[in-house]
Amino acid sequence: MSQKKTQVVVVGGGTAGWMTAAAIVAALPAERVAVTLVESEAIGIIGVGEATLPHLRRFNENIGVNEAAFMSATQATFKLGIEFVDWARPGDAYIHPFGAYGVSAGGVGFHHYWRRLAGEDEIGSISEYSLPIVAAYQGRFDLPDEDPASPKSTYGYAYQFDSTRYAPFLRAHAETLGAQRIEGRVVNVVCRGDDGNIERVVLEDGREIAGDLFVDCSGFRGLLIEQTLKAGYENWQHWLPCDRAVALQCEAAGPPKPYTRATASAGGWRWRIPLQHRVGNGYVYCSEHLSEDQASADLLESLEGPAITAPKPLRFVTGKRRLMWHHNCVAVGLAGGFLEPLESTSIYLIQAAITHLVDLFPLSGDCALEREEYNRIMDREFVRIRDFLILHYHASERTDSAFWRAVRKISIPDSLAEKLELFRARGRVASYQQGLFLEPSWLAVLLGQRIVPAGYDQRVNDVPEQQLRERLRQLRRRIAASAASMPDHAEFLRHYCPAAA
Amino acid sequence: MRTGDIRQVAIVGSGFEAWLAAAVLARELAPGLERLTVWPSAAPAPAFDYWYALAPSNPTDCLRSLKISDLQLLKEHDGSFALGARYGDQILPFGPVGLSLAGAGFCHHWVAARKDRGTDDFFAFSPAAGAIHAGVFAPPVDRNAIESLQHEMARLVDPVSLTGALKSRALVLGAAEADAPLHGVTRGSDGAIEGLRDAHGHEMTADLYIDASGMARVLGQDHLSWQPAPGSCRWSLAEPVIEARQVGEPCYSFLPDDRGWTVKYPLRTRTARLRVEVDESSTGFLPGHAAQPWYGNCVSVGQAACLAPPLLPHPTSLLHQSLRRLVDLLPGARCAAPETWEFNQLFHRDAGDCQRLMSLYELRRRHGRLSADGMEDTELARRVALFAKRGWVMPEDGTLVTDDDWTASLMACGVVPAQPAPLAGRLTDGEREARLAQLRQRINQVLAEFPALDQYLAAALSAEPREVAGG
Repeated sequence: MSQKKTQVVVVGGGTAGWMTAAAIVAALPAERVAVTLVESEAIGIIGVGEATLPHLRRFNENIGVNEAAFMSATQATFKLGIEFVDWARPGDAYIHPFGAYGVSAGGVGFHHYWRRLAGEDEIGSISEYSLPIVAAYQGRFDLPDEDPASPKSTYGYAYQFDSTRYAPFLRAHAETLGAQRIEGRVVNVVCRGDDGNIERVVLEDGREIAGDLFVDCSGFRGLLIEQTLKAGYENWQHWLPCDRAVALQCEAAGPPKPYTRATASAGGWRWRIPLQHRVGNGYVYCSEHLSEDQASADLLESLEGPAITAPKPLRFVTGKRRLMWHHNCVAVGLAGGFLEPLESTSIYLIQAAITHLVDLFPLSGDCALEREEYNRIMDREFVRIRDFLILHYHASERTDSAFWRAVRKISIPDSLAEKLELFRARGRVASYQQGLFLEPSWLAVLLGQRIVPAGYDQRVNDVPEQQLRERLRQLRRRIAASAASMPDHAEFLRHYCPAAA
Repeated sequence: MRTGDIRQVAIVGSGFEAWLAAAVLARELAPGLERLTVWPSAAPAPAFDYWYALAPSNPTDCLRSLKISDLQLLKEHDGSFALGARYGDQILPFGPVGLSLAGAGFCHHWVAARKDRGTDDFFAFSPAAGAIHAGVFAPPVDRNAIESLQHEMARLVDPVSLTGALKSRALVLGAAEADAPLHGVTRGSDGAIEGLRDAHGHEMTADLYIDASGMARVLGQDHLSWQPAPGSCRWSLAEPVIEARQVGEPCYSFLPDDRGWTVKYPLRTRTARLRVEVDESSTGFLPGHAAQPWYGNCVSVGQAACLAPPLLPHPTSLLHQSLRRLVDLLPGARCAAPETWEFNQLFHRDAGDCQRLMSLYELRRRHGRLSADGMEDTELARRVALFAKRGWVMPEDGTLVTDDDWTASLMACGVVPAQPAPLAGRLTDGEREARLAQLRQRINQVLAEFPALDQYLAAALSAEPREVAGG
């Protein structure tokens, strides 16, 4: 049975645009869908998300990207987690690992066993029971093992890469798969009178590009979703007040570390993302408490090596579009919403938006059901990440600057308050199946931010204390041995995916 | 000894639910538990022992942890196995149907193949359905050892006999039975239970009270806001009729008619027949679930918390899950708000899914077809509409009703997706046809090795315990 080919028009290149184009042409049959991407070389890209989450591996696999080639092309390094420095208190540090802590037993999570003996010197921090954390701090990396009996099966990994190189890499791949690129600047968007759907976009040189489905990857301005369709924006700054960032690159002072760092600072926090050829740095701050000049000066002062670029300022409003799919337009990337990159979620949110779009790709003209379902799912994604980010600020004990004193007073969403109360009582993490951050992530941040539960699961007491102590000692030794057997991260990169010159 | 434990527990009820709760809690709360007493309820509305079909996985894992093996179920409780159910003239298998291919669920490929050149019935791509059709049986193999063609099995048992075994087990584990039935409940001004009284005026207090009194809801009734199942009406449930067993078939059946449902459970030597009929009188029971099954120091489980006609075995999973979560969440000496909130939220999610799933069948029985149009429950309407349009199963947090359950039930109720997901287009028609043919061939090969159910049961009964599924 022949069906009309769906014309998809992606407005905007950059990471979101080319991820969208590549994913659609890779996933959907060419006889059903054609993808045209319109971008202008005159418009710069923000290049969000140098640091990623493990989910990106699946995305790259699905579109047929070779990992080593991708890493070489984007100067990528491996990432085992995110280190949070000075968050709970100045001087504190912990890693949110891409993996679980310890081993559950008898249906009871490992952290309950650890909590029972926590405080004893020989028990140590819960981080010592996480292979990715131990390996990350030693600067080691290895690909995970598929054998579930191996400690090396207990973690995943992500990438730290040069996002300005990812979009061109994806462009080449997407064009090979059949995506069409049009160079041009969109100056007008024409909607149909009957249903309000977008009919075509008009370029500066007068060319018109018609489509059935439009994907807005135009960045913060939301050229289609907001400027044209007025989808509306839900502002979350009352929960996450940072609204500015400065970013710059510097030379590396040593071999790249297999983790990203987020350091709490007087007016917000600074990121540090080690790539093969340089280090990406930035300062996310609240303009109410810090000036751009001061943020730039603080950032420059914190660099580990000489700056390569000048500080680049960014402005943002934390939140999301009220409708991320409105009429026949889907907003992906910054056009859909923005959450500060504290947990490296920018590219994940692009990926989630694309994955759900492919799953719910319109089959016919009327896609009200799909639209409603898509918005429901994406809302849930954003809200759950939002709560997780708020936790980092809310759980801080810092009072050393006006910013930190202010964020400590911010009331939190009920959904987060209930989670915190539950954890504080007996270390129980409220559970859900859908969404990005599941139990191990919540545990990492809750414990890392010094929220130690008052109690623990009573079933832990079924194990005699000395036996438990011995089990923990053996586990820690096993993890240390596994980490020590891993190759050096820089060495691994040199063999696996040396950066293109 | 544990500190800050729940030390004293009182369970009200006398059926399967009460003694399962007693055995589980006696086992899980030991050694800190000082007293666990089961109080028979004297309330007029009994708990219907309709627990003939124990859902795959969770409840049977639970029985195993209580040292009740499959062999014991066969030998001592007239047990048999079910790989699915007959619903009207269809076979509804447990577990997934077909295989995901090229990133799209099997259902989408089946729809594409059907639209293209026609293909076999959807459930023909399930080894469980094939086994039921042929009257053969084999337990599922280790899931890790085989990447495809999984099937699941439920256990069919005599619930009265199994209740006796659970009672024995609970007593061995330290539970006690009250000398006289419950006569009264003393509550504080905040609604919390302060004690239970028997007819002789003897009073007992506990840290935690479990209402397992079925529809009587003896302890929880003042505080339960009952949330009716979508499109529900009142029912009556007759006492089961025991009949001679017919041909051995690894499934039970639920058959609709104008006035209700007839559910038949073929046990190893007998068949139990239940009759569920529409009963709009005040004595009829209303399917639904409690908004707050954990209220203060009282937790309602089983039919006291969620009531559904016994069509699919999910309520047994819900019962087990409630007990499991209760153990997971049990706080210190007094029940605390965060745990209560979490328990109720998870319960509400899973019970709601369970009710909606069952409602599909009842709505279809009543209206002759299932359609999203006019459905009062908007979530169920959206679910049905999305599946009917494109085979989409809404992703949710619940763990009780799986995507496979929704797909199988919607298809069995005649909701066939109008179009497959576009992802299914990654396979050409020819490729798809070949893969489906391979799948059928493989199912046939697998089934050719299955013995007849009766043969399997006979062999199992004479085998060493470890050779029996789950033994």
